[in-house]
Amino acid sequence: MDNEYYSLEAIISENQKIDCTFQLEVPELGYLDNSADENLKALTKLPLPCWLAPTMLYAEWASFNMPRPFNNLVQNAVVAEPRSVKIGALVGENGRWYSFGKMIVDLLDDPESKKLADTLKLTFKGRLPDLMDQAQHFTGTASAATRSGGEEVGAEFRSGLDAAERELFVLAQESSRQVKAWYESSDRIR
Amino acid sequence: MALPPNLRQAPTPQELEYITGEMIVAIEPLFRMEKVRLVSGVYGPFRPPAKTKVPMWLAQSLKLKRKCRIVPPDWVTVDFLSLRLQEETSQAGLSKMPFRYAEVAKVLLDIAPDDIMEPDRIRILLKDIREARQAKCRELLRSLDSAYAPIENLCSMEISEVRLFFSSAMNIIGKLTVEPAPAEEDMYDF
Repeated sequence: MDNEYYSLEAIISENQKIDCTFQLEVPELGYLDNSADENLKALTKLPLPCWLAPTMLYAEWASFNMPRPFNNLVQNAVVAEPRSVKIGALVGENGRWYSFGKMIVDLLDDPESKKLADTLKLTFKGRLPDLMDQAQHFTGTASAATRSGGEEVGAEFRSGLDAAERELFVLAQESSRQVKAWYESSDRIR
Repeated sequence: MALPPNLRQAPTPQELEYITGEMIVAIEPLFRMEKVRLVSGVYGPFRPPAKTKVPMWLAQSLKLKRKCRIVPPDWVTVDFLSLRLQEETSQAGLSKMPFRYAEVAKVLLDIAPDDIMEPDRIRILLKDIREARQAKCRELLRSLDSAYAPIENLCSMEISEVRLFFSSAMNIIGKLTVEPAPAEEDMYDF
């Protein structure tokens, strides 16, 4: 989410690709498109990784389309009900929806960038109470696996967590487990 | 750092219980002794049935050796706690409980249930209060901001339980918040 040099999370989320359209012909870059031509033609569509795209875009060599995890359909869905969208599943393996979103926010210009950032923030906040609720219910991992019935909604929610949310989940679970263990401990000498 | 991550930022419940050991409580000693000089102060004289005031840790140790009765604080009564539970379930904000109520009550119920009136009802009331407060805490997450959490009257055990979760969540909210764009575009002017 941050663009710090040593942040592993930032490096991982930079592997996401953005669909870009080249605005001018680039000499000697034809191999990027797997074409036989030596030059990359103008108006070629090419997915560029997030670490390369900003340079291209700021120099106006290319323009980009809104990536699918953040198109209007998804945005409307998360605004309507943040908890119902499996945001972790939208962005592939690592499920770093917020990190990727933050990168797009940095690429966009003001009215849209503000709108997307607000959507991200509201989604995150909207999902927090449920996240904590789930984490506190699942303090004992062994008993969690055996529970069933009325749990489907929770399981659905948990399977769609973003990577950052998963880290939070583990944190809350751990502190909740500690407090629970303390409540059950006893100083009495028997 | 050598310390495991969950110990770095928040005190554990055991550490909080240890800190509570410094609290002064009243006891009725069951043995006869003159004043004792300890590093933290002078305690005694111990002359049954006169009450005397000692730190919690000393009271605990004497109680475990059956050498005193602990006089519970005035808030450890069914009347007071049911009033608080009512307040807790009828009002939006958290009610004002003694800052270390969870630790004190746990220790007293653990080692000195015979000194408390109706310990079982008190145990149930405290559990209800704790659950009501936890639920409220989760609801308050919605209004969490990157700068501060608008939560009043949170007690020490509750703070340590939610500390890691809240601070990490606030970190993420902070990263998702966009400041008005600074004039940085010059950097990319080729």
